[in-house]
Amino acid sequence: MTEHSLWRFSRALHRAINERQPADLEALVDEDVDWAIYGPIDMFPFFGSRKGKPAVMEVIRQIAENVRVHRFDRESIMLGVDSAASMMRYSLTALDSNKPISLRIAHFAQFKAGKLTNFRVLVDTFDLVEQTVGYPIHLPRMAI
Amino acid sequence: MTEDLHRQRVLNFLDIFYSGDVEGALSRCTDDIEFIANAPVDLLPHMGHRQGKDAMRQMWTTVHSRYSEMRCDVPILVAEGDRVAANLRVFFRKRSNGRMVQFDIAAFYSFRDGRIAQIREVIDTFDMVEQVLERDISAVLKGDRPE
Repeated sequence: MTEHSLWRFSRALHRAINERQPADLEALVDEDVDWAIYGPIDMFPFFGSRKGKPAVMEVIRQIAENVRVHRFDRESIMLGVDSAASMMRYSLTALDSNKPISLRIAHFAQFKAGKLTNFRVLVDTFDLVEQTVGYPIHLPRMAI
Repeated sequence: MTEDLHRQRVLNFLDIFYSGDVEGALSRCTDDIEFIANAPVDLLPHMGHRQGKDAMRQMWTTVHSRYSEMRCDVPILVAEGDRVAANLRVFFRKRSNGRMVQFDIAAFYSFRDGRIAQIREVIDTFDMVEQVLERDISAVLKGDRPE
């Protein structure tokens, strides 16, 4: 049985981030890939949308300069024919501050001929920002 | 295939929910449905963890009461076995001032006996809170650091 494209992509992505070895990942990314990590780009410049392999490889390089992945646990995963969705809990270190960060993310990946063509990442960004700044954000609560 | 059936069930559920038919949406759920959404519940107290139809009815009625228009696009839908994941782009128009709120949700649905038994959501909460509360949180962070 052929291995799903997600597993090759996942291994290559973590190798590119943790070991700064992007060659495996580069071979798995389509030239016209659409990529988006939703979140505040003024606080995290490696969030946002990217189009095309060079832009995606550059953003992976930026992520590798900013975080190290210690552990990730897949809480839910669905594999389609040429697509996949996962909900995961990540344990990271922010390299500039050496702060530990724990966050839940979800991603959607689409593949064509084994190459990544579309990648969407949702992050609990309010929690991420609070962990990054190191204190709770106080705002007026919405009335029920 | 089971996957195709569940994909269609999610699309039907979303059509019904976003049309404003809370009871219709609840009829697609098990009695003990569980809802878990990451969200700052101190700011958005109607969100968080809910269990059972009564709790879901209360939450969804609250949401619908705040918005005069709700719709969603589903750019990606992935199904495997009894589970479906949907990437939703939602558009809510506030009743209070007519402004449109737009954000993305990752929604993971689990089915039991043809009904939705669990919904788990991951949301770009920073963007959502900024739009819902109409506050520039980045500016708040610059001027509201604790002593």
